[in-house]
Amino acid sequence: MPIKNKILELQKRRELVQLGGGEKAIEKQIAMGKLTARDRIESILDKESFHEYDLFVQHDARDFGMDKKELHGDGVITGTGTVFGKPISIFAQDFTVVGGSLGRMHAGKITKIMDHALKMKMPLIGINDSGGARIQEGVNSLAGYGEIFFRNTIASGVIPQISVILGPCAGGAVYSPALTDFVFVVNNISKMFITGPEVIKSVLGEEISQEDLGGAKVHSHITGNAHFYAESETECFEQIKKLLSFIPWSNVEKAQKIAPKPPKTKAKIENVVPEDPKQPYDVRDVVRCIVDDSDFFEVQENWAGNAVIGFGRVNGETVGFVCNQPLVLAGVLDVDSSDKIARFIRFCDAFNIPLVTLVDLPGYLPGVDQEHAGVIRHGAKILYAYSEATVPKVSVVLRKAYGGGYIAMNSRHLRADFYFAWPGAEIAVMGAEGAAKIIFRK
Amino acid sequence: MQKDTKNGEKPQYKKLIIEDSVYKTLYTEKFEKKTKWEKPDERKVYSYLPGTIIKLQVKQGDKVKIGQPLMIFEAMKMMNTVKSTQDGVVKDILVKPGDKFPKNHLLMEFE
Repeated sequence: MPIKNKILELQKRRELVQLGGGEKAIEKQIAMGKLTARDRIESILDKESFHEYDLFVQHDARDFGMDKKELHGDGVITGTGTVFGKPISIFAQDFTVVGGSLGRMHAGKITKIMDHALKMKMPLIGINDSGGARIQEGVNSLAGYGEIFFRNTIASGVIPQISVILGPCAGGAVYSPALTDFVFVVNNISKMFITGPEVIKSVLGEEISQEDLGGAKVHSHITGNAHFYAESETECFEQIKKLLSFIPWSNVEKAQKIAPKPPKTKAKIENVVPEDPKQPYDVRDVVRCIVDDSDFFEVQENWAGNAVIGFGRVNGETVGFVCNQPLVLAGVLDVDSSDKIARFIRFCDAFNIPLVTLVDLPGYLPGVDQEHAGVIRHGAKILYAYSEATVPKVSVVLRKAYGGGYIAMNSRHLRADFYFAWPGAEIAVMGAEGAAKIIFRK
Repeated sequence: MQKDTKNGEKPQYKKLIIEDSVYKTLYTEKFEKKTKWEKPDERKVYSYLPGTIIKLQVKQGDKVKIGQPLMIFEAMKMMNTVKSTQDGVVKDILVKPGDKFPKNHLLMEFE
């Protein structure tokens, strides 16, 4: 065969394989309100920057008639591209090819791109849309998951890892997103759970829909498993790009500095924060008085609202903000907010992002439920994270810092580099009423 | 959960008391939904797993010794035995074979 024909043949085969599960399956995917895996990759990456790896990989399963099945790309698309002109690695499971089920070669493609991302020190974006393990491949598919989880762990804190849940992600598959730094979900599309509605029904007799069990709202509002919630895939991709604009490409880099801008808001901290320590206010309004262009990108905004975390820029450089939120539960620390804060500190510390802590809390949330849920071990995570973090750590006491909460929220004792008191700040073992009652007890 | 105050609507603030200080704030859904803790009644036998009753091994009025099997239930594809944690007399059995029950469901009461 002349070389020209060989090239034509290659092009023909490439076009066929790039269609994934074929036009009918693509129509079905679109009817479900979802984009195709290829469209998703192209929506995230810079235009025409995608460079695909392992397009012609085929599975090697021979049982249950699998030898007669050709699965294009083995149900996953992997490769590299750029975002803001910087190299990034990405994989997207293709639901149109046997439900995006994960077999040995499918996992092999993913682990290869993960290894590459780690070697080249670039972020990894994983788009999950899969029915789960490919049962026909037996334990080989479980081995595939294990290989992915191992790499998620080894890469943790070295390169940023982003998981996007754009379809079902059930059973063991959910642990890969849980091991990564940020999880994005989209309303009506994302579904995550360890055991699905059928199993729950057969064991417990409880009937629940996939959406109510592990939909986007559940994970962004109730469980805290997801960090960003969007109404559409397009909105989700914008959020991913916004996040990428704030974070560095690896743990040996700093986030990109941009031209500093003054805060946009006309509000002033002295007008936002009421003098009376018992009055509520939205601490996010304070953050907007500090950050460039008043642009505060909140993480996990719908979960554990008594703590606020997120990214902003100060003098053009990315800063991680950790704040108590007097608007919700008076800004107390509890099980959920402790987990939320501690995990965020660990991310910022790993990726050279300085921390600013805005302190205004009356202490820990009292209650049997909190104690029995292990608020001691959850609360300890904040102490550990702040003590261990070596990035610059600055605290500002906006109003009150009482008791154990004062120590936990980046106090000098945990080696805050600078500890500022806003005029009117109260640092004390407890509020005035409680202290008076004990000291002047009859 | 977290409400934005931008819409001009004044949020309905509630009270949260921490060490005798009364704070004005909003509640989370989780906080509002939490149930009051009650001291567990040792006379009552609750399920420690969700499952299905297979067989009852005692009946109302029976004298039971500590460690004696009370019933067998199936959960997570396994047969499990509920053993008595006390000596006593069975006052009431609230389940029958074939019943499906969730975790922390009242199965039996002692006198």
